Amino acid sequence: MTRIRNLSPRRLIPWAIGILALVVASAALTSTSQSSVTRARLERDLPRTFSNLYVQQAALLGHKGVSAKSMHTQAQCDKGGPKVADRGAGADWICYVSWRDPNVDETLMPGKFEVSAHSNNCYTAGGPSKLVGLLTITDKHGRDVPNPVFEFDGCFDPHGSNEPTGVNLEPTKSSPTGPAALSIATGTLHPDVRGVVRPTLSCAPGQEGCGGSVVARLDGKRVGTATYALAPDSKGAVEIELPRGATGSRLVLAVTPVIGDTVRPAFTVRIAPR
Amino acid sequence: MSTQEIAPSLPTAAAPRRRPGLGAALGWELTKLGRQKRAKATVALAALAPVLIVLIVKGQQRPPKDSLFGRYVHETGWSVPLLMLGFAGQWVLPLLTALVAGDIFAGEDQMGTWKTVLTRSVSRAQIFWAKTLTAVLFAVSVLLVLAASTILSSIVLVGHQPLVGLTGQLIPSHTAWLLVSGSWATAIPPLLAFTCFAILLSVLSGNPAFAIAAPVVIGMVMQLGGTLGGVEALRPFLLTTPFEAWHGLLASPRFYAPLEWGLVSSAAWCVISLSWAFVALQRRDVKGG
Repeated sequence: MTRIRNLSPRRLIPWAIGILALVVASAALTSTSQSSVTRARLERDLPRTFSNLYVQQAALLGHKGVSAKSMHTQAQCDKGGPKVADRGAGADWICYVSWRDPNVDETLMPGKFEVSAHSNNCYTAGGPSKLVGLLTITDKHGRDVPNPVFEFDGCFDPHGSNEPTGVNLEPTKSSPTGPAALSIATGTLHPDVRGVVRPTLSCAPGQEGCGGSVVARLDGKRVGTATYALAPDSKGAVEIELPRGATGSRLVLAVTPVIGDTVRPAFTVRIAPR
Repeated sequence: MSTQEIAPSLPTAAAPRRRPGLGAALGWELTKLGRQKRAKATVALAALAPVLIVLIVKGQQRPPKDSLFGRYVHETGWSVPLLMLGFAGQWVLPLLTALVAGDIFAGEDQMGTWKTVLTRSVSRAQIFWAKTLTAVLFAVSVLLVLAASTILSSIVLVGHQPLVGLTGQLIPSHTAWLLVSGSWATAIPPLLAFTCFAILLSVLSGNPAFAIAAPVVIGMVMQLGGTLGGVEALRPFLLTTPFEAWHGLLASPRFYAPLEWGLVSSAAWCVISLSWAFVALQRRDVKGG
C-alpha cells in the first residue's frame, strides 16, 4: 500500500502554496544574484597558483633563480571582452600574466592565459606554450614528464578580497592603437598655368593610415572632388583643377574619411590671385 | 490519535519491570537493518567498489582532467580520493544514505507493519528517534567505509607522492594524509542533511521507491542548478553545495568559510526535515495494517 496515491486535491493545496512560496523566494533571491567569481579574485589567485606551479616546473627543468617570491607574478583578467561585465563563471575569461624569470625571453610577456571559471569558485587555466612549454616537458634527467603549468586548476576563497588589484598588463604595441587622423596644410596655394592647386595632406601615425574623399568648394561653389589614400605617418597631395574663370580666394575642402579619421571635417585654404 | 503512547498501559501494580526505552528501540532497528540484504550489499559495495574504480582510473591512458585532481591521478595516490570525493558528492553519497533513510519509515508502510511496531511498549517519538539514529549511523558508517577503502586502495595502488594543492602548492605526504581524510570528513554534514531529507520523504510519501529515488534526483537537480549562472544567490541554500566545501582545505592559505556555512545550512536542512517528519509521524492516523 502506498500513501502517495491517496493524495486528494484538498490535501494538495498546502503543498501547492508551499512550492509556490519557495519558487517566489528563489526568484527574489536570484534577482539579487552576484557571483563570487570576480576579476579581482582571479587576479589575486591566478598569480599565486601559477607561481607555485612554475617553481615546480623550474625545478624539473633545472632552472636556477626562480622562486614564487622572486617571480613577482601579476595578472590582469577580463571576461568576454570590453562589453561584458568582469564577473561570473564562464570559459571566456582571458588573463594577461607577467612574471620574472631569468631563463625566459621577457619580451614575450605578458602571456595570454585562457581561463575557464566555474561557479564553485574553481577555475582551469592554460598558458601560452611559447612561455610555459608544451603538455609534456623534458626534465633535467632527460625524462618526459607532465608540464605542471601547461594547464592547471585552482580554487579561491569566495570571501577573499574583492578590491581591484590595479594591475594593468594589456600588451602595449609600439604603434598607436587609435585610428590615424588626416589634416590639410592651410597655407596659401598658387594655382599652376592650368589652374590646378595641390593642397598638402598629412596622415598622422595610427592604424591602417588614412583614406577617403575631399570635396572642394570655392566660395561656396563646388569646384571638384578628389580621393586620397595615405600610409600612416606620411604626406601627400591631391590635385584640384579650378574651373577657368572661377573667382574667389577661399577654397573649403570638406573631408569624408573612409579609413582613419580627420582632424577637422573641413579645412579652408587661401588661393593666391591669378 | 495524538497520544504519545500506543501501548495499552498495564496495571501499575503489576508492572515492576522497567519500560523499554530508546535504547531498546534503537537495538531493534539496528537488528532489522542488519538483516536487510540491501544494507549489507551497500556496505560491501562501499568497501569493494573503490578498489575496482582505483584500478580503472589507474589504467586510464588519459587522466580525467575535467574533474579537480583528475590530472594528477597517475602522479600521486592522494589525488584519487579527492577526485572520487568530487564524484561522490554528486549522487553517490545521496544514494548511499537514501537507500536506508528513504526506506526506514516507508518500509513499514510497504510491509503494513506500522500497527505492529506502534503497539510495542515504546512511544512514537522513541520509534522516530530510533529509526532516525539508525539511518544516521548507517550513513556515517558507509561514508567511513567508502573513505577508508578509497584512500587505502589509492595509496596502495598508486602511491603516496606529494600532492599538488588547489593553489599549486606542493603538499607533503604526511600533511596530505590529514587533508584528504579531513576532506572526506567534511562530507558528513551534507550527507546527514540528505539523510534527514530522505527521512522526511520517507515519512511523508510512505513509498520506499520514491523516498530513495527522490533525494538522489533532487540532489542531481541541485547540483546542476548550482553550476548555472545567474542563480548564484541560491547556491548557499542548496543541499549539494557543502559537498564542495573541502576545496578550502586544499588551498593555500586554507579557507573555512564555505565549511562553516555548509555546517549551518546542513543543520538547517536537518532540523526542518526532522521536525516536519516528527510532527507528520505523530499526527499520522495508523488504522490499517
